[in-house]
Amino acid sequence: MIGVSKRFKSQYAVKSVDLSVDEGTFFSILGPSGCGKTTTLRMLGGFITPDEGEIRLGGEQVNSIPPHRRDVNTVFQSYALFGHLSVADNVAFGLKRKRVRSAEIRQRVGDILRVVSLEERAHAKPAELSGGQQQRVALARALVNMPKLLLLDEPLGALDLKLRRQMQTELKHIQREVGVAFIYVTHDQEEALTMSDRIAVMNEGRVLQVGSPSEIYERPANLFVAQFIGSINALPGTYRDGIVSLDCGASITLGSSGSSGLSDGDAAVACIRPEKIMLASPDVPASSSVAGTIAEATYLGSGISYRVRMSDGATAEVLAARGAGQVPSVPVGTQVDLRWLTDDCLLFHRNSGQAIGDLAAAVDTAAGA
Amino acid sequence: MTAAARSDRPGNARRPWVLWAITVLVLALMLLPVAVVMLFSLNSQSSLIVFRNVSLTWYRTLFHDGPMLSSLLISAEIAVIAALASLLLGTLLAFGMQRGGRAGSTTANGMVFLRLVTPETATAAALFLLLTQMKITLNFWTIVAGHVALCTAFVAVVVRSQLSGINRETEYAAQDLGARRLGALWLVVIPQLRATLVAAGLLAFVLSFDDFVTTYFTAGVGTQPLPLRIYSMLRFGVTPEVNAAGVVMLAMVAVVLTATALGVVIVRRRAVGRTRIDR
Repeated sequence: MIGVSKRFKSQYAVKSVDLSVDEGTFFSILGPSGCGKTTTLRMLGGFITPDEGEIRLGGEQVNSIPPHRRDVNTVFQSYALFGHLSVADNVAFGLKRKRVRSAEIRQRVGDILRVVSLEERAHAKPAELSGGQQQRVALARALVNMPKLLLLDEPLGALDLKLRRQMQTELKHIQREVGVAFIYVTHDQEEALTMSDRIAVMNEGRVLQVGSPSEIYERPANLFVAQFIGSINALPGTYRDGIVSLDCGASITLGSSGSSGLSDGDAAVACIRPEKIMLASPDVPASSSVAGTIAEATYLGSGISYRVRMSDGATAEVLAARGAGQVPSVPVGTQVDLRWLTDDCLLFHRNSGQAIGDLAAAVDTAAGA
Repeated sequence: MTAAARSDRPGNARRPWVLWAITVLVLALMLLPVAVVMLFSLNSQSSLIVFRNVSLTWYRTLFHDGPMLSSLLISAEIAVIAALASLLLGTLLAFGMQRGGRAGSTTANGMVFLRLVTPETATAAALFLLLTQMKITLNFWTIVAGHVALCTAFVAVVVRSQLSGINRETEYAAQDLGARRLGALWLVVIPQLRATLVAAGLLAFVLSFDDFVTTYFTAGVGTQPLPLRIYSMLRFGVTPEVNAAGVVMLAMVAVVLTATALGVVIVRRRAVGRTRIDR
């Protein structure tokens, strides 16, 4: 997709979207409800025509090609199975439209049903199947046509948690096995992180960042992405003279490249993920830390999650994973120092959400330099 | 059962016979006239009040009564044509009502509703005046036209209510898989409407077969449909032949119903599970 936009009445549902998906990869579009991901998917499928921009498939422009002639297939959120046809008839539907020979239909339908483990139920009607089975029929029905692109519109939303996890793994395996490029739309960031080769994060009609799961997680391009993916602590502060002073007491020195675009008095936010903050005893001298008191400790089994109250009254979440050895849990009320590595601190403009690069040195306390 | 247990249950559970009694009473009220018609059709004498012996005289008379049989046939012909025509038009209308966009569907819905609530006498008289103004001689086809105008609205309402419950995504799925827009409707939506279309067709048939008011205003001087003939017979002295005619009408509707039900079952059996797979 190149510069694609779509308006409904006077509102932009999708604005200037650029996306590129490689053959045979698993690509997710991730974002909250109303961010434009479904509209984007519909444009790829041919159900909606873009107002601006181009959509290309294998190098050819397909903007005006209707769904029935596009080499793209969709798995719908409600599965949209044909209730009056059997499973095999449902799956064969696309092949029949293309006038494929009966013998070939028999073979291909049989093969795909084997891939999704539904051979036994080939002659059942959709109403007789469970939710998970219906979902697999929808998948088989789309995949049997071997399209250039498979679009999946939040297909696992209706399943319970355990089944959802199971289907996530299965979908990933099937994608690898069949080799068709998948574009998967979801609002569940865990799902996107586990399944995808690459993710595009969308909000309010725009694509905010495209990258691999680890890029999105470790190096979010802006505040929205940082806060949407996983959990993160957002510590507000103000910029002055090359240093961002955080309300909680720490200050961050910016690198000398001066490309931050900050002026004195600008509001900024420092974001650090809970698992990247270390708890240290305040007695041990260090040049860099934020002082705080443990307000809450929650036992998670695989670790302990602490709520630490800092000097400005705000709290930070710290995740202490249990290593191989015994880690004694810190009792509520203890004074601690919070420390983190410079690289793990992400800085953003508070208003625009844009990332500020180039942080230098370590965290300094406001009290001493 | 102890007295305490009995008084614990809710009202109708304590005296179940009350509910049954009311049901029987209402059913009797509804079906008694029909039962009387059927009973007296078998009367050996020419009375609609006093029953003498069981006899099939009146059925014999009916089947030798040429004009009566013609009327039966005409009514059936009209009903079949009107049912098919109004089924087609009503279904198209239903699609328009459901999918016509905000402006289109509001208008369509309103007009169909208007047609349904306007008294039949008013619409029939208006139709008569229109036909007269247009200098059209009243004949078989004017009756059919009047019936179609009436039944289409009913068909539209019935089909539309079912249509609104059909998942639109199945149509998109069909298009996604290679069917054109009309093909998607035919392959995916119409099959889901099958039962409703049959019911609507039957409804139209019965409405037409039984109709008196519109028929009265649109019938010409040719053979009269059955309801009109019975009406004219009633005014000149009535015999249980009329009862026999009523029973025959009932039987005809029953036959049509059964035939349609069987037809649906057969068609459904043939359409499913045609794709075989290689194991």
